[in-house]
Amino acid sequence: MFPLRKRCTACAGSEVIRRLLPSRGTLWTYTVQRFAPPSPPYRGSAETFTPFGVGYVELDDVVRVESRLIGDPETFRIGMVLELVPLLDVDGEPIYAFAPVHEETSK
Amino acid sequence: MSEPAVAIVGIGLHPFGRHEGVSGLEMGAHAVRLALQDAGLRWSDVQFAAGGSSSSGNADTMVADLGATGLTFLNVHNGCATGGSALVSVYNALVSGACEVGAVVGFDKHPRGAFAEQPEDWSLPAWYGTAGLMVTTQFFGMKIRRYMHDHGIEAPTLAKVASKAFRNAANNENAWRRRPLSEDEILNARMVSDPLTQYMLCSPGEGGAALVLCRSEYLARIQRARPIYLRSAVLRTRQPQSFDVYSPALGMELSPSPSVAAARAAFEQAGVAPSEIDVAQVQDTESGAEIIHLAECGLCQHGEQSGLYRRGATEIDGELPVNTDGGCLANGEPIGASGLRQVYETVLQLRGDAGERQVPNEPTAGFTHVYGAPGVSACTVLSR
Repeated sequence: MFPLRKRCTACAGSEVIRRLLPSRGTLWTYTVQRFAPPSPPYRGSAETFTPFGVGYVELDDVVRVESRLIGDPETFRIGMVLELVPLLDVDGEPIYAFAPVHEETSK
Repeated sequence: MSEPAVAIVGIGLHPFGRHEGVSGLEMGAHAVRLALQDAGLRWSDVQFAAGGSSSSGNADTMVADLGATGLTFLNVHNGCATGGSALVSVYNALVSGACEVGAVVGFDKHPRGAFAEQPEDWSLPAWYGTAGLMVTTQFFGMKIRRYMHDHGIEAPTLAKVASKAFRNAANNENAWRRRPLSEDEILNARMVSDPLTQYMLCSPGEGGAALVLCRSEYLARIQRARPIYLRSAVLRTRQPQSFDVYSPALGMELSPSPSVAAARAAFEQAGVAPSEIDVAQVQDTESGAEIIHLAECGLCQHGEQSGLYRRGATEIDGELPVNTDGGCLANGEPIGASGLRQVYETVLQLRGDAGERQVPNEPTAGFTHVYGAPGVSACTVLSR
């Protein structure tokens, strides 16, 4: 399960083991957030807002994680390879995102 | 079909749209008065009521307008399934024999723009909201994108859904958006949440809806009763690996949506097969939802939808008329009222009272479905 919770969402058991997720994956589905999300909870102003991608990234055969996507939304395709990148919100708090792996580094 | 225990005898609706100076509670009370008038009953005849809104106050305070009769009145707050949950409560109270006459009411009055929900209220970490992921339209875009990929559905089908909604609404004096739009206008409109354009998404709005129900034995006590039987009313929530609104992660093997479980149970309890349904109202918060929900509810096969819409099967005069009043797309979504609007429309159709948008050949069985965050669905089966 993601994110980490005190109890398992399937069986409600309290023995939860931390596991490091892969930092690379493939895009399973996506959309583009084209208007400023209501704030709060979103941290950011409507005036300076620029559209961003959102998608579910399939991390090996482990889990599909919802994430902000970095890059030109016009280039997003289901199945494209992405990697984890750090992202800061407007207050400098860490959130995360996935970005396309450049051709020269992908295998 | 077994002998039905519960009948809907009165229906009422406050028009959907924008109504400056009228509160959500007032719209709800208006709908209740119309439903009582339709049933030929008085508020003092109602022993059990349930109702609610998402953001427009406590339903039980409308006794100030309707009469403080001391009845049992349950406030319901259950997202998009608020109306459906209230209906399930009253249905079960009637089936159990706890009361003979019940009322259900739903209403809401939302401001313009997307719903502003806080992650803490949804068992989610704060970062989910600050990062900008707490937006229902993202789910809609992502679910239909994957569905189109998996089932070979293309954007023109999304436009056909919306075009039908506005066409049906043109014949519904209570609908909000009644101007017909061509498929090209819909496809070429502003993109909001890819692949969904502005006209493929419904808007939060305002409205109220109410029903008066009774046990079937009570019908003898109502003059000129025009009962439509409520054969089942079912509510289900999500399973651990499902693809639902506000899901930070999905399992690799997806569990079926709560819509699947709710619809299946509703059909089983009603003793009615999906193939017997003559008119259906399914949650169409956007074009994609209608397409997906038809299959999730068992009304068609996954992937069959392109063909259905191409040959007009979901039109008023088609083999499976869907969202005959214009659905959420044309009525907007006052959350509390939305599910009961579907039942209102279905009763109207089964009575033969739907006027210009009447489904031909005297439909006998109807189905309604709502779905919402964080994975909840309510379904009903109705018959003459």
